[in-house]
Amino acid sequence: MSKSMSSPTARLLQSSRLFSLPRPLPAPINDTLTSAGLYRASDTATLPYPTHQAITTPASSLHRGDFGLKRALPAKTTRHTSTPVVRITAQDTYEHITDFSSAADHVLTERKFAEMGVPIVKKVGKGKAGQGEEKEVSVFEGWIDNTDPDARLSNDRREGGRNGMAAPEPKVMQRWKYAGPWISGMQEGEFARWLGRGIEGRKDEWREFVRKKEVDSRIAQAQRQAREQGEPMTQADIRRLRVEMRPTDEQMTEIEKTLRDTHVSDRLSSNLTALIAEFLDLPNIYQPGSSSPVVKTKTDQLQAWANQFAAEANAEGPPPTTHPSAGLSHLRSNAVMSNHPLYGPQAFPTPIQARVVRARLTSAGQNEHNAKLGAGGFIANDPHSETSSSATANRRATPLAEPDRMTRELDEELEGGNKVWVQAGTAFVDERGRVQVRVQRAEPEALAVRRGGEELERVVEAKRASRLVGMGASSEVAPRGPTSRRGFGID
Amino acid sequence: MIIRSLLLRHGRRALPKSTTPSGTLRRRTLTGSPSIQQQEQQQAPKNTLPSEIRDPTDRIAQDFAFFHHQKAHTQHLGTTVASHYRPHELVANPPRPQDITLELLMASQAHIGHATSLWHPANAKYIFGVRGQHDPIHIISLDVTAAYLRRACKIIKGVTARGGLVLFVGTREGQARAVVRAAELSGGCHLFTKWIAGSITNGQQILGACAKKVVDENDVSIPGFGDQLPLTAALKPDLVVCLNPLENYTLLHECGLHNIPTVGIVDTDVNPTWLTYPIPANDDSLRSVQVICGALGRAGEEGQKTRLARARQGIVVRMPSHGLNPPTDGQAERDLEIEERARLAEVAVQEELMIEAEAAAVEHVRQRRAVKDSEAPDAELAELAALEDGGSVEAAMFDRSLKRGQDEDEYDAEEDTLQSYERDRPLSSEELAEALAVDEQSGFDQDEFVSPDDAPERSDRV
Repeated sequence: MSKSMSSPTARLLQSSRLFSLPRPLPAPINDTLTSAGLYRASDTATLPYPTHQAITTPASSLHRGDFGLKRALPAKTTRHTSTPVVRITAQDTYEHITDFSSAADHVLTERKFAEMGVPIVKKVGKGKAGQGEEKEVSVFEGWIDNTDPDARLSNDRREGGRNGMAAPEPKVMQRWKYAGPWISGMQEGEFARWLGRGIEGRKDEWREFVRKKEVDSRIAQAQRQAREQGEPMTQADIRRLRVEMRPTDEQMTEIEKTLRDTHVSDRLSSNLTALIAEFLDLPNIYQPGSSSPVVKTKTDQLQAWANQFAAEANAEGPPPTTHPSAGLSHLRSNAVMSNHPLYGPQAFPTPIQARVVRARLTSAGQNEHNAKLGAGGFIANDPHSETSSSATANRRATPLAEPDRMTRELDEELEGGNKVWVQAGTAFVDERGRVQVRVQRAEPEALAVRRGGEELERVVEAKRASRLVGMGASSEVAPRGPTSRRGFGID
Repeated sequence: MIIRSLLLRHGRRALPKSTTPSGTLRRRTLTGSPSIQQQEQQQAPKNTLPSEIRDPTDRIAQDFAFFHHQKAHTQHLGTTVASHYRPHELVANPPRPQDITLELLMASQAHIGHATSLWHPANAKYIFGVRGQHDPIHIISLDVTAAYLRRACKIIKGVTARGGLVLFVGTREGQARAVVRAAELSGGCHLFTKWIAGSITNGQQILGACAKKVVDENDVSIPGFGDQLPLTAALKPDLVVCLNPLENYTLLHECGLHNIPTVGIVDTDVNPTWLTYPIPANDDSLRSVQVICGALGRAGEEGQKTRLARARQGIVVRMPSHGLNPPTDGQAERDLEIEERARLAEVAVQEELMIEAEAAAVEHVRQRRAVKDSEAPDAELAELAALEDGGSVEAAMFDRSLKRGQDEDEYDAEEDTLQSYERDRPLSSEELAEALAVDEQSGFDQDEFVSPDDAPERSDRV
């Protein structure tokens, strides 16, 4: 029995909250490649994801600065704030201080995200998003939220369909966690180290694995033949065949040679690749359809970008580093209706005000395709691009004029900066741990309900008038929502 | 499902009925049975609530009464989760030595040591291990802490049970309350500011002028030694408890020179050989210090109780040698007279201070009034002044007089009131001092009577 188990102190410390603090994650790379070149973000910028555990304390202890650490934290930064949440960089340092900083940034962001009510969905690759009607699927669906390599698809195919996001028929059981590394994302030295560390010693295990696979395929063939002849095999037969059909060493050499030969011609789609991927539990190696190999570049940084672009173009890129929801939200769907105390259930979610972080016309005079919005602390693309917004503006003349004006150019005179009302859609966490939120422009009617006042009265009046007249709808009223949502909103 | 639960809520009578919603199903209310409701609806106009049924034989009323009967008889059952974490009680009601557990020590952060680079290797035997990769710190073994703390408690208890004097020293910020409380419990002395170097090794020069007194075995003061006490040596503690040895090396060194045993909290960066009885624990966390200091104070309290209980039974541990002779004739009376005079002088000084404060308040209000005479209404200004002065009696009186009149004529009258007040006011401090100097022929030293702000930091007493 080790010291850590026998000592009473050890047994206590194991259940200590301080000792339960997770180790900090490696800091994300803040360099981003933009059209203007390399842009290095500031040291004090909020990281794309939290790396340290945020710590808070009850009010009575907060008053004493007691966070359960080596020493009390100073009042100036922890007690006289509305967000007394800290992250600890070091319990004690050479200077006899506890190194800490405020964790309010991520704590508040998480709170805002929860308030937006955005479900996390499976990432849809850039290439596929535009092609067809690929529906968004929650990451908590049974066939995605899975770590067991032997899991089988459940029979209940309606699982995802109950929620607003219609789940397509899942073709294969998917996993988000693998025992092996993602080789395409490894650099050369890293790959060599990985090879040397444990692969070379597993030769016998590999041969046994191939042999077992060969036996399985032979038995499957024999079973098929037996079925065709009308004499289905019994379990005893299979057990007997399993011993009889075991390939000899000579046969094994022949099999391995065949595998190698086919690999020369088929490369990544070969049988050998599939076997290796299964043996080492490697993610996303065997892609029958993929023909675009990852670009090889000279420097590590460039290689990382190349991998990133490859990953963005292909949804089956690197596996996620965490659960695909990253623990940010546990909502499975956004098919909920907000209930207004006066006007009842609303067809559209309550709009939120987004900040225009970068307008389409930048200060450098460039004309970007999309404006960048900051919704609830997350950067999102403005869904209306330069081309699409003009078309929309023609269709609905007045209500959309303001958002288009706001996203076109930054108005320096405007107090509080340019703002757009949007409604939050879905979000996904990309393989680098960054949260990508999709937003839509707010519907005029939902916006009227949100803001109240004259605007709302006008909408209500128009609705009433249209009901009195009949079907002759006024131009000020937004068209009715989808059939499934008829009867909600202001009627 | 919903309908069934609705029915359930309306009493046992509704249970056997069909739960399928049908045309005959009628919503039951507590205010009446269906038949009565129907009759009432026929008579009364619609939209008015049916009148309350006071018939105690009605089944629903019985059910309702039964429900409330049950509620009243069962609501006290079960447990209530009370908040057990009361950090504010740690100083006022510290844990006793027998309350020391590993859990308590861990919750008080006693196990968190310093960064590994700061360690003193002599602490190796107290250290449990290292925690952290980027910021490694040493973890102090809690069972060692508990054992050493219990031993220190026994020592303090033994010292106080034999009439020893314990000095509690904690000179870090925030430790004052715990130190004072521990000294209060164990009947010892406290120090929460700087240790004046030489207070032990050169005590006669530094503390020689301090007051001393002689007490009997029941801690009752014995007069009559006034002529001998100034000649005796300055007191030295019999045991020193030091909560932050790193900053008090001088004290510990002096104790070592005079064979005074020391107890102290040793963090991983302190040399444990400085202390006679080290307690390995975290000395940076106030909570840890309060728990340890409180337990030591409680141990001292136990020792004092034991001593007094024995003294009542006549068992007294005498000091080996105090070097005092029995009081001479009339010395006891003289001592008491001096004490009484000192008490009276103190009262006089306090009265004078109060009068000065009141006069200052009035003066302040008058100045404000003179400055803002034309700008603000009188009553408002007086209120403001009264608020600023913390509502002293004189300010409030002045306030009322201001409120009475708003005109210029009455303003003159107020001036008169003020002047007459100035004429009749009691003497100021200087005047009082002069008067005292003239009156008192016997003459006692004014320096002996110091205001509370000037109280000496040394706490040696007999």
